[in-house]
Amino acid sequence: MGSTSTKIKLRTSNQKVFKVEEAVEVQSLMIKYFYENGCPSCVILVHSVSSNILSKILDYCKKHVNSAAGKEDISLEELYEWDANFVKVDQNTLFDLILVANCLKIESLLDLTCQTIANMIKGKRPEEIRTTFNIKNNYTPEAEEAVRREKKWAFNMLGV
Amino acid sequence: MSWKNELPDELWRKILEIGIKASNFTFKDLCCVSICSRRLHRLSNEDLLWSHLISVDFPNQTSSSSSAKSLYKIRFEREKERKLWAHKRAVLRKESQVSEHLRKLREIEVRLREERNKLNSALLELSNLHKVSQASVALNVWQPEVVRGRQKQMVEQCVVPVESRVHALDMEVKLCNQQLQVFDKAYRDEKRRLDTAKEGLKSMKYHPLRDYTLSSTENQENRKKRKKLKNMHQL
Repeated sequence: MGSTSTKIKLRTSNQKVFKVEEAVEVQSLMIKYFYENGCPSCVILVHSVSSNILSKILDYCKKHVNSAAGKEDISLEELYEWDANFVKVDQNTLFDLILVANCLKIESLLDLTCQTIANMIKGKRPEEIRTTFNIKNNYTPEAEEAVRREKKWAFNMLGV
Repeated sequence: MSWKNELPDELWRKILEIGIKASNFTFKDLCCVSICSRRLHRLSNEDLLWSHLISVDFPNQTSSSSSAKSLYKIRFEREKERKLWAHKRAVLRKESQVSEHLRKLREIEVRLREERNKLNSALLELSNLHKVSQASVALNVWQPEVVRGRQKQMVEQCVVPVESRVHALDMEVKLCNQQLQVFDKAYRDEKRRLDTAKEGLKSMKYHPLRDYTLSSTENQENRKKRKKLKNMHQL
């Protein structure tokens, strides 16, 4: 890899340009690929990413790179707590984070965000899941009843 | 932007997989997900998920070639009796939790009321004492020496000096207020616990068909249609 002074720039959908340190962006497999293929100072257009999402993601990368490199004195528990606070956002932002983490191939962030969604689904009733994640119910009433009937076995616990 | 709120299939798949591996999704959670929409139905029916679930729930049975979901169902039916009792126990436990929380709430309410009464009577006495002392100040100012002297004698005959009584009452009011705050907080905490327990009980008792007909807002016509459908099924 090149020296740390070379910068990759990311340009977001609202035309904001972010300079990112190489050290930070090696969290992203995609940008790592750019570095390793001899393109250490180009501008990458990150479609459909707004600048506040991207800056949030860069925060995440910085935190994790710094703590891994020992630059920041932070225990593993504290990092977990930081992560937990990081994903305390509304559902739109969370989905955006997932999409960007997926597109930039930041594995740890993708796992973190998916886990958050999974925890939100756990124990919820279908109606609640729909409202939480803004999922449109595209069943016809008959089809929905059929599905519910089919799933009855899982709930048939109290003789109902 | 239209791409918002739309996760591609691969990401939903990942979420469900992580759900089973790390968030302890049960067959129930998967079924709830599949009721949400057509797409989630398709995704949550995928074999990979159910074979994960099989290996979690029925670890010591060898797998066969049929679809993982139906396999899960078959094994589930076999285990149903056991699961049923486990579920009943869990529901009972939750119910007793709820009633325990309710009992505690009642208790706190009673103590709150007692404390409020105490506070009120202390405040009343305090205001009476203040009135008396104000009145005696007025007397001091307006009455001739002889009367004042006589009154002073009377006051000095009192067993409890007025000032110390006022002081004691002030303390009591402060204490009562403190206690009220403590009880208020306890009440709120208990209420929160009650709500979570109730919520838990609700999702334990959830049944897709019963709740569906209860909560459905469709008109009579639709319901009739469904009844017809049901009759046809029974025939």
